[in-house]
Amino acid sequence: MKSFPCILILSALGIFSGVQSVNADPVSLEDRVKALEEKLEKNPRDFRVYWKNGLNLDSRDKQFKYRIGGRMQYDWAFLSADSRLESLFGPQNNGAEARRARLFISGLLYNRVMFKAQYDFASGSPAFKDVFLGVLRVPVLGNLLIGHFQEPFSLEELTSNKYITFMERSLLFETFNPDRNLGIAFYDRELNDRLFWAVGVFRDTRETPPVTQGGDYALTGRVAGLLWVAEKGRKLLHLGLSYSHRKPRNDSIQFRTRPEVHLTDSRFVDTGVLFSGDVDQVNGEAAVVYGPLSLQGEYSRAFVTVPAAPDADLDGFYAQVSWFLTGEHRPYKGGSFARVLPKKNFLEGNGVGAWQIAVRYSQVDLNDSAAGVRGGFQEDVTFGLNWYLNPHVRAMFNYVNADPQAAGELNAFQFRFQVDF
Amino acid sequence: MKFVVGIIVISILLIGFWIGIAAANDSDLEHRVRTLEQQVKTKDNDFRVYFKNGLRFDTRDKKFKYQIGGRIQTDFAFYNADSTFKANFNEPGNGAEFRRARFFISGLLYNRIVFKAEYDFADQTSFKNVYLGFIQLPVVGNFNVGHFKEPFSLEELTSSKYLTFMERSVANAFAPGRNVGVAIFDAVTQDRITWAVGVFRPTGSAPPRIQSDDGYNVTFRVTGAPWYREKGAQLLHLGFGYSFSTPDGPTFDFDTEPESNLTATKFVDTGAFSAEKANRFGFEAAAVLHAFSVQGEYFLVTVDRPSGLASVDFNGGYMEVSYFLTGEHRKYKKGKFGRVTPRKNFLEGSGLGAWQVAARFSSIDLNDGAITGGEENNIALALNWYLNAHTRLMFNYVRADIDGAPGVDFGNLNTYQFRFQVDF
Repeated sequence: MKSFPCILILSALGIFSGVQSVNADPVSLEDRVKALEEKLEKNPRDFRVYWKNGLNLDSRDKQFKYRIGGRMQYDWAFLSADSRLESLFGPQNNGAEARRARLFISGLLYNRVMFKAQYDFASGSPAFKDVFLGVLRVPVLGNLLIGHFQEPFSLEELTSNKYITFMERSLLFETFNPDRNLGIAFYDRELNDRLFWAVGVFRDTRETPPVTQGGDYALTGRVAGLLWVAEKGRKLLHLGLSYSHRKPRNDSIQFRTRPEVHLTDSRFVDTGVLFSGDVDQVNGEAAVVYGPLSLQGEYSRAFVTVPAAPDADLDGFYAQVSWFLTGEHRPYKGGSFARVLPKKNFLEGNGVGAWQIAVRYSQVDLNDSAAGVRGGFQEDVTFGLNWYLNPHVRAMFNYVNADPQAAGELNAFQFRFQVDF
Repeated sequence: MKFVVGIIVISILLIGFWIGIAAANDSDLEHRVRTLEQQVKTKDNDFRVYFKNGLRFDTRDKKFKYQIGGRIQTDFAFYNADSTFKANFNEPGNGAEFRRARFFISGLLYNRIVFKAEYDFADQTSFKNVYLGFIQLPVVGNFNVGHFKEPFSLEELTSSKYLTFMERSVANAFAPGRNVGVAIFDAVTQDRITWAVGVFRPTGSAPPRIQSDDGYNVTFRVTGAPWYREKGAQLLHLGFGYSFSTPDGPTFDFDTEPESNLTATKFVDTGAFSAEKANRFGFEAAAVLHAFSVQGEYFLVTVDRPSGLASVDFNGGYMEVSYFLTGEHRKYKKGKFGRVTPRKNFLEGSGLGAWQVAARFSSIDLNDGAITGGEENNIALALNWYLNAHTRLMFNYVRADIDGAPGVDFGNLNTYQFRFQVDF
C-alpha cells in the first residue's frame, strides 16, 4: 500500500505534462482570448451602425449620433372639373409628379447639440426643409432650436407628411399655417410626456434659399397635451391651442389654398394681396384615438388689421374620421401623430399590411364683406384609403370633391406611392 | 521485480499523460475560442466607423477613407445707418439668412488619391471644394486639380468654420478665392514651412465655368512659423502671397460687402474697368501667445491698363486682436488657423465652453487715378461662444465708414449681427 501515493504522484505528473504539451502550442489559449478581448474592446468614439426606422450610427458612449435618410412620394392625379370652374380657373388636367424627394443627415454632438440638414429636390433646386441646430436640456429654458423649421402651430402641420392620413393636409393648412420659417424657438415636454409646449420668434422666409430683409417678425406658440391616455396610447384624447402674432413683410399678406390637390396650381379661394398691419391667428385642435378608430379636428381663425376698414376676420375648420380595418391604431408621439406600424407586414406569412379608411370635411371662409375681403368660400369632402405595406411604405388613394362657392366643382382621384428610409 | 515496477510506473505516467491531453482538448473552451476568432475576424477592407471631428470611415488597412459631413450657419443682422449714408444708399433692412448650408463627402483612395465634393445650398447650389488630389508625390509633394482656393491670404485660407469674425475683412476683396485650377503644395520641416503654387482660371462657383481665351491666374504663397513652442500655444507666423492675373475679358472689378453678408449691396465698388493684367501682393503676420492672438495682413494690387491709360494701385489690410477669456488658444496648422477646442464643453459639469473677445480694424482703398471705387474703414468687435468644438454662437458689431471718391463722405453703417453655427 506504500506505493499508492507514488502512483498518485506519478499519474498527476503524467496528466500535468499531458496538459502542458497541449497548451505549449505557439499561442496559448490565454493569449488567444486576450487577443479576442483586445479586438472586441471598442473605442468609445466607434460607431455602432444599425437599422431603426432608418440608418442609424451611434457612438458607443452615446455622445455622438448620426442618421442619414430620406423620403420619396410619387403622385398621380386624375381631375375632372365642371365647365364653370374651368372657365374661371383654366383647364384642370391629369398629372403626375414627385410630390416630395428629400434627403437628410441629422445627428447629435456631445449629447448636447443636435443638427439636421434636410433638402427637398422635388422642385428642381434643393428646397430647405428642416435645416437647424439645437441645444438640448438648457437649464430653465428647455430645448433650443435655431434655423429653418416648422413654426409650432396646428396639429396637422406638425404631423409629418409621412404620417398624415390624407395625401394633402386640409384646406386650413395652406391658408392659415405658417409652416417652416427661419427662427429661434424653445420647446419642452412636461408631466411625464403629457404636456408639450413650444414658443418661437420667426421671420417669413419663403424663398429658396431662405433669406429675408425687412421688418417682418412673427411670434408663434403652441401648447398641447394628452388629457387622457390609456393602453399605452391605444386610447387617448389630445387637445391643443396655437397662437401666432405676425407682422407681414411689406405690410402685405395673402390667404389662399390649393383644393387639397397638389397637381393643380389653381387656388379657388384667394384673398389676393391684402395690405395689412398686424395679423393675429388662433388655432384649436382636438383628436381622439380609440383603438382603430380616430377622430381629429381643428379650427383656425385669422384677425387681419386692414387699414381704413374694420379688421378682417377669416376662418376655417376640418373634421376627420379614420378606421384601421386591420386593427392598428394611430401612434402619438411628442404632441403629434407618428409612424403607423402594421400588425403584420404585407406578404410576411399571410400578412396584408395595415388598411385604413378615412373621410374628412373641411371648409375655409375667406369672405369678410365689412372689411372688403372677398376671397371666397370653399368646402371639400375627401375619402381616403391607405395601405401600409410595412412601417416605411404606403400606397394612398384619395377622392376629393372640392366645392368653391358659386365657382363650379372639381373632382379629383389621386394616388400616392411613398417610401421613407 | 524492479522491471515490473518500472513498467507500471511508465504505464501510469503514459495513461496520465493521455488523460491530460484529452482533458485539454476535450474542453469545449478551445472550440468556443476558435468560433469567436472566426466571428471577429476583420478583413483589410472592412471599415471602422468612428467620430473624430465628424463622421469617418477608415478601412482597417488605412488605404481607404471616407468622411461625410457639412456645416450650417444661420445669420441674423440688424442695421442702423446715419443720415449721410441714407442720402447715398438705401439703408439695408434687418435680415435673416443661411450664410452657409454645406454638405460634403471626402476621402482617400489607395492611400494615394484624395477627393472632396462639397456643395453649398445656401447660395443656389454653388461648388465649394470639389477636387481630386495626389498625395506623397516625389519632389512636388501634393497635387490638386479641380475647384479650390487659390493659395493667397491667411484669412481667405482659414475656413469659415474657424474665422474669429463672422465675415472676412473688407480687404478680402483682393483674394482670388476659389477657382478651377491645378496646384502643387507641401508642408516641410515638421509643417513649419508651407508652400503652394497653382494655375487657375477665374470660373467662379455657381457652377464653375469659363469660356474665354483670356483669364488666367498664377498664384503662389509661402509661409513659415519661425517661432513655435508648446505645441502651438505660442507661435509666430509669417507669410507672403503673390498672384499674377489676366482678366476674363477686357475688365477687372474689385468690390466688397461691409463685413456683413445680409446687406446684399457693395458700398465700395470699382465697377468693371478696362485692364490688361494685375499683380497682387499679400503680406501676412500672426502671433499666438496662449489665449492672446494678433493677426494682420496687407495687400497691394497693381493693375496695368490698356495703352494710354495710367496703371492703378489699390491697397487694403486689417489688424485684429483676440483673447480667450477661458484660456484656450487659437489652433495653427500648416500655415492657417483651425478648430478651437474648448477646455470644457458647455454644460459638461460646470463647463462654460470657450469665450473669446476680439477687435479688428480693416481698410480698403479702391480709389486711384481715374478709378473711384471708394474707400472703406471698418471697426469690428466680436464676442464668440464655443459651446463645444463643433458649435458656436457669434456676435459682431461692425461700424463701416464709407467714402466715395477721395474726400467724399458716404456716411456710416452700423451692423449688429449674430451667427449660430454647427459643423458635423
